[in-house]
Amino acid sequence: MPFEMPEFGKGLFTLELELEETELDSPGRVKYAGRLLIPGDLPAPLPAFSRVVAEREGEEPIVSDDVILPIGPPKVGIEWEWWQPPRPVARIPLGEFFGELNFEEVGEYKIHAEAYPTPIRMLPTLAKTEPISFLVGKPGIRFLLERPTVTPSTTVKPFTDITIRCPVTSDCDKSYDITVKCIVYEGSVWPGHGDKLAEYPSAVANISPGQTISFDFSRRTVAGTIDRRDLEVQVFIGEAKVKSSEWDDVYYVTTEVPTMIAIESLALS
Amino acid sequence: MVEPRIVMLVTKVPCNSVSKRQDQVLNVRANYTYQGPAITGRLGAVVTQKTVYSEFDEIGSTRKEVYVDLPASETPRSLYTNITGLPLAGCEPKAGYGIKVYALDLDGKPEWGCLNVLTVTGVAVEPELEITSLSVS
Repeated sequence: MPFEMPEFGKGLFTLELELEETELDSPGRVKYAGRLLIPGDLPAPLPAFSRVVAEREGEEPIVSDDVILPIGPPKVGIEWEWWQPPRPVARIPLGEFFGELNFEEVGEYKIHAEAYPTPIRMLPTLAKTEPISFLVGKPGIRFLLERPTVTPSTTVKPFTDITIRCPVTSDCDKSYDITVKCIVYEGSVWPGHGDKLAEYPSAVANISPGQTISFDFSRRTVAGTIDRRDLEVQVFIGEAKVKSSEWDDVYYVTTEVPTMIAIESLALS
Repeated sequence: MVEPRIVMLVTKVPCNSVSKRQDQVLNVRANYTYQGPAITGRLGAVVTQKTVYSEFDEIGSTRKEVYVDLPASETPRSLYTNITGLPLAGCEPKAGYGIKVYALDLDGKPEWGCLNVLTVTGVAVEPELEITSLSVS
């Protein structure tokens, strides 16, 4: 069970979150706005940080950038410069934050907002909203991806022809025509992957509920700056990406490149 | 304890013999096999002579190098490269010169050569007689 920071400001602070839409027909962006309140429903005059998190079962959450809540002037302020007359300007209201979440994949999300006293989030949260259910795309679209396998071997030399097999299982409520894209990255010693080396789109395939289709991609390996290779598999219905997963160190390409040149004969003229 | 020492290795390969004048240039076609990734390397050729110190003592003024785009190949692939225009003006007229070909920008500096394949002849000076005047007595 993941560790959860205790809510330090429970009862002291109230956090509110509003989404501009209640659902999206297809992947896209949703604007949100929220506010941190103190007792008496007053805007919190704190240098707090907020973020919005969209969670989906079995997937990495989508997390917004941290936004520092303004502690400054009220909603409308006056700006004045000596060379021009004072003018009213709109400012971000006290205790409020807003932003946008980008949903790249269809699915059912739970969205909540959190407020922290620092951006590093090592301290307890000040407040947290109740999760809001949010649907992107049609319900009932769910695909399961398994870690791809590589043949003939997971450790190969450069210039070796390999086959990357990506099994996709449909857990949808009906048949769909899907395409699968396999992306090969150099691995990295840091979190995430290195440079993209190649991507391979599949032909369109019809997949029924409960069916597993293995998509094979042929590749000739190349030497890189590191021997590790990461793979990402994406599933599309039409243009809409409905599922993606990435795996580290699926196969290795030895960095030693066998270079050999041999003069056989010379001809002078 | 074995003292470390530099050992120069030149792989000897077959080569035809030619005779050239000092004012001519020498062209070398190197037939070779390559296996490895696609890279740009260099092939160089230089005329050599045999001395008491070295079988392949290079005559620097004759050196020529060319860039070679080597294609990726999993297995040894036969290729050739022409290294043209080695100037022979710096060679004394005599027989017994050798030729050395080497690769750069690859692993190490492999060298190949052959001995006694080049004879350099001097540029013949034609005797000229010009009669400027005649006097009859």
